[in-house]
Amino acid sequence: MDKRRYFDWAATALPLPSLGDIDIKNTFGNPSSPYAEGRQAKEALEKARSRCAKALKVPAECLYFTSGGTESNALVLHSLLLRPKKVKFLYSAVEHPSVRENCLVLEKLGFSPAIIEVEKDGRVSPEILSKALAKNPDARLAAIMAVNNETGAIMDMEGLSKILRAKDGAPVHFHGDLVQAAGKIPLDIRSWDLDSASFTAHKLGGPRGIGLLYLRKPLEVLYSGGGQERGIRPGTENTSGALALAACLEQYASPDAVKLEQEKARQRWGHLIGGLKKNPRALLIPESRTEDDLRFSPWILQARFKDVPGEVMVRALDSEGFAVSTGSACSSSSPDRPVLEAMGLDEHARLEGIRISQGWSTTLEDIVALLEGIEKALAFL
Amino acid sequence: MSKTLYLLKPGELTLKGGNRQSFEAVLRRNLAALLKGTGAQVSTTNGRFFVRCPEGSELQAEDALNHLVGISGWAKTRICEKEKPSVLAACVEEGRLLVSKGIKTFKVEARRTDKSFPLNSYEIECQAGDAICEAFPNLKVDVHEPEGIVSVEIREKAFIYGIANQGLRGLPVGTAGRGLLLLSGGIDSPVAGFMMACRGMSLEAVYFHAYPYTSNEARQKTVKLAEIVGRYSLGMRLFVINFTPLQMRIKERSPEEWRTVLLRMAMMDCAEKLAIRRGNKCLVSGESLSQVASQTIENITCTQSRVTLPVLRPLIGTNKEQIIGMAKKLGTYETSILPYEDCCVLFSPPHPILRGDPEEAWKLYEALECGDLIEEALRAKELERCGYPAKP
Repeated sequence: MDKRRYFDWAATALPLPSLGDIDIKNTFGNPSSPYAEGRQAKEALEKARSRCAKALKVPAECLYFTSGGTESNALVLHSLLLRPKKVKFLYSAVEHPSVRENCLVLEKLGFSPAIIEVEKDGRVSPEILSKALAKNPDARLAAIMAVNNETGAIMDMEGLSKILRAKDGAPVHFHGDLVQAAGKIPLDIRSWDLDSASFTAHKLGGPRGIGLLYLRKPLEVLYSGGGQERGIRPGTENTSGALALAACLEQYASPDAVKLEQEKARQRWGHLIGGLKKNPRALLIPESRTEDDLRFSPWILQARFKDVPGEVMVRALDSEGFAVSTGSACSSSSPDRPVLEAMGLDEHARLEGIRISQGWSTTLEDIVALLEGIEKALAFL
Repeated sequence: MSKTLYLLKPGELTLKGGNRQSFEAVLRRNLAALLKGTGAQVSTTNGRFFVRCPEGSELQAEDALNHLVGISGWAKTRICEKEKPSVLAACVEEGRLLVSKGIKTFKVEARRTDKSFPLNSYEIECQAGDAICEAFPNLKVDVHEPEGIVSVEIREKAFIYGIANQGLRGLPVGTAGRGLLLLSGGIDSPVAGFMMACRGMSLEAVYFHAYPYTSNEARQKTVKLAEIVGRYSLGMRLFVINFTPLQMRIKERSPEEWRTVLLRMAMMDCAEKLAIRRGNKCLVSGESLSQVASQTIENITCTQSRVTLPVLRPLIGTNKEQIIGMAKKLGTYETSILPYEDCCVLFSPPHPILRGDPEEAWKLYEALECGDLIEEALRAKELERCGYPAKP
């Protein structure tokens, strides 16, 4: 094996080399402490918040540092527990486990969530959302991710929000999981008209344990503590993490950076998809996905190989020097593939699915090598 | 340095006649091997084994005794002079331990090999019982179903023990030859290996690995199971054999419904070749009649048709519930149910043949022409040494 080639960026990205420049020595103080070290840390934290806000084009006071995407999603969903009534809410059938499983917890606690089905391409269409809303007119929250973590399907967030906003009666809180969208596709939180959104640093080359929650208006939350982050996420703040997250968002989430990186990524993915289409044993998920398909993120691809279980392909490629995965890393120990099931794939096909994802250091040479590696693995399997 | 004394009661080997001494020698050797590194010393007198263990090594020594096949029980024991007051005082101390464990009823059991002791067994039982009752009035005698027993043995010294631990019974490992266990990551085969170890059989094991169809986690799980069983069988060599090319050959050349039976035939074939080369006298398998499609009597006949060595199946007449119960006691269950199952999607037919005809099986197996593949698999085997007591 010449060298390892990493294709599981959707699980976690390689760390950005520039993160080493972050000044952690002078920001170690507790931001809640009144003396100089504390004040210095507080200043750094607020500066990081402003930088994130600038990169995401949202007001800084709407951003709260959390431990990551999972916590950001949970904070929003669990806030329903504090409402006077057990309200109805919606979530898409392809949500990440951090949304889906928290919705199931709420269901156990007496809430009655409804699932928004998806089209065969794994996307929530405005029509489907309309129907779901018509069936559940008393829904008070809808959780829909912007980019699916397994298939790369990009949701029409603006179109979906228009449907939600056009609904008569009490407003629906629109929560968007933007974990796989930030730094990968152009974000427009204002046009998307989101009430809340979640982000995490480690999908962008930052460290684990730091994320963001965007809240248009503060929520009442279940957890309390020292009052940090204006009570939304109490706990001593992770200042160095916040600085790292700000650096990642600046580098990748600004419109210019996204445009440039996305274009390069689309070229590489076009090559990968074209190569796979020539392979008689390879099938894309969905099969309709094309080389330059704007409905999908150019960073994530779901594919399957006839008669080869996904986990076998993952191991075979691992032996050839490639890291790929089956579905979400957060549920890789579970044989269920709810996202693929929602797309209408039968059990056999679901079992064969693997996820390939690229990142900032992926090269065309890596793609060429991967296509060869797949050929080699299939020759043996 | 003070030493803790343990008394061990041999199990089934006491029923042996002229061979008893050789069985005892093996038991003593096994005991010494398990106690290696503890600083404990082993001694024997008529029908009893004693372990003297330095302070601080008790936990290690007791763990060794819990893994020793061939004893019916063991107990931490008091030792005193063969004088009535000392014996009775020691019995009272054992009574105190029973009380501290919440025991309410007891009896005294005495055995006197030294007939010069002034009290006979019955008298010892009566007087010790009285002394204990006097010291602990809440403790009552129940000779029929006591919650606790205080045992007194008058030998070259007086030995008194109250709380006894059950041994694994059976015959010392190494007294019944050596077999090759077909070990998988499942629940059954480790139990089968343990049962044979309890019949005195030494074990080696073979695991058929089919990477990338089988995960490395599944292999690690099997190594862990071999470690657990190996602690009872005084160590176990585990041979890991890459079976992927054979599985692929079976997939290419055989009717789908026959794949499982043919795979098992190939495993038996390969295992026997390994067993013969290693000097093992039999194969040991975790099969249980009709548990799965490949374990119907017809399919067992097919899989057995390739081998001449005896195939021992200690679980053949047990049900899954019983096997799970044994696996839990043995300590393999939690490992066996870890979710690293073999990925058999390609190889497990949806409708496997239930009653294979041995003649047909033989023909299909011959058509696989897998002799060279088996030889290559055997050449490339890897060895894991599992459960050796003295492993650093």
